[in-house]
Amino acid sequence: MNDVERELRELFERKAASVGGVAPRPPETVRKRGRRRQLGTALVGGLTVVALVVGSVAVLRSVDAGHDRRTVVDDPWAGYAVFERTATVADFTITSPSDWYLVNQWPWARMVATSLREQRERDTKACGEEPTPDERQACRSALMGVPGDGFVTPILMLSDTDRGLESSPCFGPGFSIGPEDAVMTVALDSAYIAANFGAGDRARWPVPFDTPPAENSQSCGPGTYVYFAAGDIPYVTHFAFGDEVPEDERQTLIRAFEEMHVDDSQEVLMVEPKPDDSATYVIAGGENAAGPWTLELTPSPSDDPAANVVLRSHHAEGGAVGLGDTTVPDGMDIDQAGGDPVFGFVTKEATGVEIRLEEGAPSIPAQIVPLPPSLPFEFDLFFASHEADAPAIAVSLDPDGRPLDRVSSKRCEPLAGDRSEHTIIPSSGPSGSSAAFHLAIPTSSETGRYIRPLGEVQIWWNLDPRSWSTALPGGDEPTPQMEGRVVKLGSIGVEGLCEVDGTIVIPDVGSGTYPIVAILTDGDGASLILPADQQLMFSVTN
Amino acid sequence: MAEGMRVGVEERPAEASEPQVAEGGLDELYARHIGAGVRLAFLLTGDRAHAEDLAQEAFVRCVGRFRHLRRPDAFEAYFRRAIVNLHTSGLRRRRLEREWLAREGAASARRVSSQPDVGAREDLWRALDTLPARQRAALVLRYYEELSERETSEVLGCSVAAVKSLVARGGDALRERIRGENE
Repeated sequence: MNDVERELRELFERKAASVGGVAPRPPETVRKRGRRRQLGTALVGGLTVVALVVGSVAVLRSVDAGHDRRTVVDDPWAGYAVFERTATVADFTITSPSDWYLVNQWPWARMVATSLREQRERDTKACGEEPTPDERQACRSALMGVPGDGFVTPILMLSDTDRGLESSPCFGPGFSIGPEDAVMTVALDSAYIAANFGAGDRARWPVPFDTPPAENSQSCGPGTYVYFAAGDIPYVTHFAFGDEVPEDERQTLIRAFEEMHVDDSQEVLMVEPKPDDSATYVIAGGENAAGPWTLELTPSPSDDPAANVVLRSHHAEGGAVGLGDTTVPDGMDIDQAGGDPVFGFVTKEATGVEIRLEEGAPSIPAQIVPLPPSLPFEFDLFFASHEADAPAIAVSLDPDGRPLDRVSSKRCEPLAGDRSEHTIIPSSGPSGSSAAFHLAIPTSSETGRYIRPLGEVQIWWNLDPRSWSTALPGGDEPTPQMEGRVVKLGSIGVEGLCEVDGTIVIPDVGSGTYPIVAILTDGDGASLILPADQQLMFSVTN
Repeated sequence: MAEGMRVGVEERPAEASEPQVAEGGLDELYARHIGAGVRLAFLLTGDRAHAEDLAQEAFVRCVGRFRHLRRPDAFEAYFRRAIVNLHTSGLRRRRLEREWLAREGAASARRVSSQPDVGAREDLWRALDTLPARQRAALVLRYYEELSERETSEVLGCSVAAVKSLVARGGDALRERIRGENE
């Protein structure tokens, strides 16, 4: 147990004790709310299709007024390859060009909706502890909102300009449309559910764009509305086009809508917030053996001044792998995570990224994606899908397709489930060729306790691992293992980092198999990262 | 299946009026758990009044969903999780709440100082206030609630590795800040 840990235990005990006694009987407000929540749960549970979404458009719009964060810049995709992005957001699988901004607004809108619902519940007087049938009906109406109040809950937004994450035509009068803007919002039609307890006689998906507009047509302000249902859930799609939108962009949006796939298997729907209630940019999507995945980007929630963004791949089964607050490009040139997809951050100096798999497998080119203008940091994103169950190293490339000659590393946060193998790819080649290596920094003590990585890692060519200490300052000349010289290939600070990726250029040496030795040094001493008999080896084939 | 969209028979209570917790049971449940809940909330917030509000809100939510709990006997674990989640997600909601309160002319959220403290660790207590909510929560769950890393990850809804990272970064930040205050 270290000093802070011990002091925290004592402090917490003492502070908790200082709270003193707590009244053992619930205040009347707590009892009433508890009973009412139970009643509400039972009432809605008895329905086949239920949405607990209430609120007032007036309240909501005032809450979010002024949140139009449309960012007008020169084309951020100039110089980048645009690809077709197919991604699943909630129950919608939508295909659109990657230079359109697809925002998953469902977590955020759900949070806003439930906040308002809770306020409404607090205001509700109709739910007594033992309601009569009439009171129960009144209570249900109050809990489920005012039919026709126009409240909808955005699920996704697709736009040709970056509007930021928390901006919606359905959530505030501050939202404006520029003359060349095109914006589509797909939303849960909460008001319709509250009024009809389900999808009613809504047209079932798929429906064409020119479906005649129906009721509550002002939910999201001026624009074109298309109403439909999937399963027993009603949705509304709102289109807003500026006066000068090019026809091809207009058609892009309409095509994205009409070609959507909508999961129609949902029957019961409740809107509840989750701890992670941020909207996200959907950068990419795909499908593997585990089902659909999406790569989603948010601003970092960290208070650290150096915080920037968080990039996560989400899988259909609920798992997620994340990477955030990168030090690319200040300390690294590339930062990677994930398996399928492999993804991460890369310096803008790189003109390409390739994913190197094990020996003999062809490398996979990764897609480079610029950050949205609302997140103006000096690095790019990359991703690549690869289904091979094998270690993969992402390598940043220069304009000639050669690896950027720098060492990079990886933070410790995504340690769980990630690879920890030590690899060099390829493991043979001529002098002057390059190879990518991956090293896991030891993060456990002999007792299994987590140790935060400190110090630096030195990478040595042809150092005899049994005499590795000769490479330390104050030692004799470094002892070679093979005939020829010992070369220090580089070093990198590893404070807070758990993995190191890098590329090396093979020195001009004779043919043979040479060790590549990694030494971890910090203020207290030094150690080999790998046992002496398990070093990375490279065969020079001149 | 999308988050928040749940399908299944278990989501359908049989009768609208079916009680979830017997009348006396609610009081008993409250008496049994509210003290621990307020203490946990106090360590998360550093504010006695806010802690009581937080614990009561979490209690109301857990009671409301009592019959949906997979293991009703594990109420304490659900209650703890609700407190932590309400606290961490509440940080984002506060922006909305502030605007709403301002519009309604209501008083700002109550903020009263904790009881006077003694001893040399008041600097550590102050330093805790500067940590991000999830780092603080991880420290409280590990060193006050004595949860394992796995249990802490379940409460926080993250991986074990993330818990290790939160605890390590939180500890480092505290060390750094205390060192800074002492210099």
